[in-house]
Amino acid sequence: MHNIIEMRNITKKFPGIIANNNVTFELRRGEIHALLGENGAGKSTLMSILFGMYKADSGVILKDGQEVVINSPNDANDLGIGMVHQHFKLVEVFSVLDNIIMGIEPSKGSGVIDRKSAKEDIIKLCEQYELALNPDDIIEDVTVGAQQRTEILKMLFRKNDILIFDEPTAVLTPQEIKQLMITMKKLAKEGKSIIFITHKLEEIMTVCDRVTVLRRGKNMGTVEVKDVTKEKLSKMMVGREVDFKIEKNDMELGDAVLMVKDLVVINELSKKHVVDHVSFKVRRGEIVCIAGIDGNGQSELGYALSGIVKPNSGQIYLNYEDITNKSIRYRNDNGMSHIPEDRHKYGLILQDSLANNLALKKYHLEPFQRKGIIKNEPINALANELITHFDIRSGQGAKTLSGSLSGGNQQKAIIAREINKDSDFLLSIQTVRGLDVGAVEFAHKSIIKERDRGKGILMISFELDEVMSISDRILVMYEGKIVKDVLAKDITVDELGLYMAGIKQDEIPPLTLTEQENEKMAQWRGNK
Amino acid sequence: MDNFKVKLTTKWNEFKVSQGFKNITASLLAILLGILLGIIIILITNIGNSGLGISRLLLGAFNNPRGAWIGIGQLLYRVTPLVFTGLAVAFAFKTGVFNIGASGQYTMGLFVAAIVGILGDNLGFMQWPIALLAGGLAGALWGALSGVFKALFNVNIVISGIMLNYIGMFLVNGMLGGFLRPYMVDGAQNRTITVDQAARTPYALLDKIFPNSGLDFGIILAIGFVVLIWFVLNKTVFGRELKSVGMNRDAAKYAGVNEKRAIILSMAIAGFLAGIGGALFILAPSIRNLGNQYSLENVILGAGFDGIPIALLGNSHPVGVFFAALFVQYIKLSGDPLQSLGYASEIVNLIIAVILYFSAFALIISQYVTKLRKKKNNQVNDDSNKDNGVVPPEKPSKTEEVIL
Repeated sequence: MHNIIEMRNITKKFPGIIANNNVTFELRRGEIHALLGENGAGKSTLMSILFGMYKADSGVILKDGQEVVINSPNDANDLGIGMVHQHFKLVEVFSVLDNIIMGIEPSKGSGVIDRKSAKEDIIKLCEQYELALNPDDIIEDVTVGAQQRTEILKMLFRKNDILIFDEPTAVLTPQEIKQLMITMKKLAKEGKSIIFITHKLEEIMTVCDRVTVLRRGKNMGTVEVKDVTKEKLSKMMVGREVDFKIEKNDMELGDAVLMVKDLVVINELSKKHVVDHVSFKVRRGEIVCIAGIDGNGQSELGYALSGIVKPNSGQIYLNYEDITNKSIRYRNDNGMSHIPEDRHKYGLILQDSLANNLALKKYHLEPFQRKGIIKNEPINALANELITHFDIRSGQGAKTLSGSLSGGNQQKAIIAREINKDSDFLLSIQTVRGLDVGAVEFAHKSIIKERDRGKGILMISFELDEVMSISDRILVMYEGKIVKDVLAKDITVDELGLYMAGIKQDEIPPLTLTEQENEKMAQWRGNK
Repeated sequence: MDNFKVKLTTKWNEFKVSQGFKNITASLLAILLGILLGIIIILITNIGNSGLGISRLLLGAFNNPRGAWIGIGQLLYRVTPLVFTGLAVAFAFKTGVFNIGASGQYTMGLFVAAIVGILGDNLGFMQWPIALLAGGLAGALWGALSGVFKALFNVNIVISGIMLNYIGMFLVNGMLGGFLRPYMVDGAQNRTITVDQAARTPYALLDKIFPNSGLDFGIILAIGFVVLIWFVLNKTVFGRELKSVGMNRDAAKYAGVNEKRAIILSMAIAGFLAGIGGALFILAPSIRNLGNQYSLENVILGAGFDGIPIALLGNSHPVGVFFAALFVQYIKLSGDPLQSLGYASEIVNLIIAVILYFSAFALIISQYVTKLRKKKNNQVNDDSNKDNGVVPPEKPSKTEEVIL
């Protein structure tokens, strides 16, 4: 079959590392070709070279057998190469139409934009590729899926026929992912050639024709998808067997380590109940996962639990103690660990060293300080221990600035810090964001180990795979409310999707307390 | 001996690539550019006298007609309040707060110290320490006000700081011109009278080392505070908390730091430092033990504002602040000698202004470089080579995120 793009013997070096080592990559016309690899394997570097953002140190790129030089994204565009970036490059306040024509605005020679003909063209394209999109909608009002379709249309409008999708499914709901898969197949059928960068093996198996696996900058081989299994692909990618099935024993459930009663958080600006009378328990020995599409109040629930935001009403109990009005430090010091959603904003002080960040929640306690004076030896000892045990890779060990770590390693540092705190309750939001398969496996195993040691764990995740694989119990959150409370083994992905989209909703009974629990709570009140 | 040499070279090599070295070179570059501009202005305004003018500009403290040694003593004497206001701005900077209100805090410190120094007649030998402390506390109160407004009502600290500068100045002048006038003001000169003998800071033998320069105990206190502030910021839990608020307010809050309390405390301490600066000015015995006076003009005292370029130039590091203050005062001492040649003494202020600009530029440039580096890293996304930890660490910006 005819190769539309050939990248031959591409080598790209960065100081101290070879990001692409003699990589050869071929894309056939009309195929969907997956590019698979761990974090840091060189996928994005390779695509950045193809898209003109980097220049290769050596190697050539051929299009239709002709050698081409690509120095900028504009060059790539002229050659018909388009890219949907992981973070969309759209102007939020512009309409879909204006975003699509931006930079190549059609005009009738007078300099006045000819929106009418552009709109006709776009509608035609939408019909041709079965993309549901209204050109007059404003970007900030439409769903993430529609924004992604706008990006796809941008490429089609520019008559690109080589389409690069950089982790396009990370932000979508299961239903939207299905729709995207259909669109991709349709595009390929119409003669477009697609490069699909992803971590998710399931997606490769359903939609791709071939897959190229990169590991540590080298091409580990290109294979036909129909000839491989998920297990084989992951072995090619990581270099060892990866457990997909998370091994979990059944656990005897203990006391409720966290109880949330009628919790309400009202958004100050919109006056909306972003967390709407939420009640639930997390007991020792269970992993409870809050599933839902991003923006349904999960973040605010997390803020309220960790104390960053004060709830408007309702109570939070940690080990039967009412902590609703306690400070963040009190929660930290009394049995709550928290892996935050935004690791740059909340999780780490990027300008500070890894050691100080690993001790961020402990430096005010002995032996890390004595009489108010910071003791560096125990802090460094702790840091070195965590770096070894959690395999946090850094340039200069404990004194590395945490801002210079890769996202995956930053996340590992936070996980290490929070698990090391040995708290009764662990709140973990988007735990594995940005982690590759091997690191995800490690993070999940660490969390399950905590569960098995009798900790109560509440996870908030937007990734269905994660929700399905790790949780014991699933709560679905939709528009601030819990709409489903179910054991993980009793629900399918598809049904979960319906709850996440708000199509199905259950009535959740109010929180019930046992005699014992009431007693324990009374004890706490009596102590005060 | 050889061993020591090797140690020294490795230390030096480490230092050469450190952020501190870069900051120092950036500051020196700013100074160089500032002086260059001063020289150009001297050349433009009167080329005939320029040789002498340039040499007087560069001689700074050594211009003193009574000799270089007295010049050095004068430099150290006059730099004392500036070290404190520099520290006041730098300390707040470390917590991410821009303390533009140091002038108001300085004025309040000066005023309250003067009250105790003039009216506290029966305090005996404790008069000067009490006056000093009272001045510091008055400054602390003035600084804390900004912090409280920020913490409780989210009032922009720069705006409240500027307003409190005016409020402080008019409050002091109003009281001195009003009910305190009979007790504290020399009507003929429209200045405060000098403080009591017992309220003056001791010379502490410095008048023996630097005779006739006015140098007193204040400079020792200033050096002591430089060390103390360094210690608090770098070695204590309290300092770590303040700094983490300065570096990443959200993460500090998440980690359990009460960031509102941190801002209030930081502003109070900054105010205390500025207040001590003001107190030391008014309590200083001065040359031949004549004492200092405060003039009742409706002008905000410059010493507080000088703290800003000093903190910037010193990169908010206490030791850096000390040397930056020394430099600023050194160049200020060129003002009068220049004027006697017919040059405008404001050249000196121009130089300081240019230094301030270039210090700020250094900040912007370093931030820009960081951004550029980030951008490049983003391009390679999570697939970048960073995962192996071999990419040189991203440099932190020269100062921290500023809370307004």
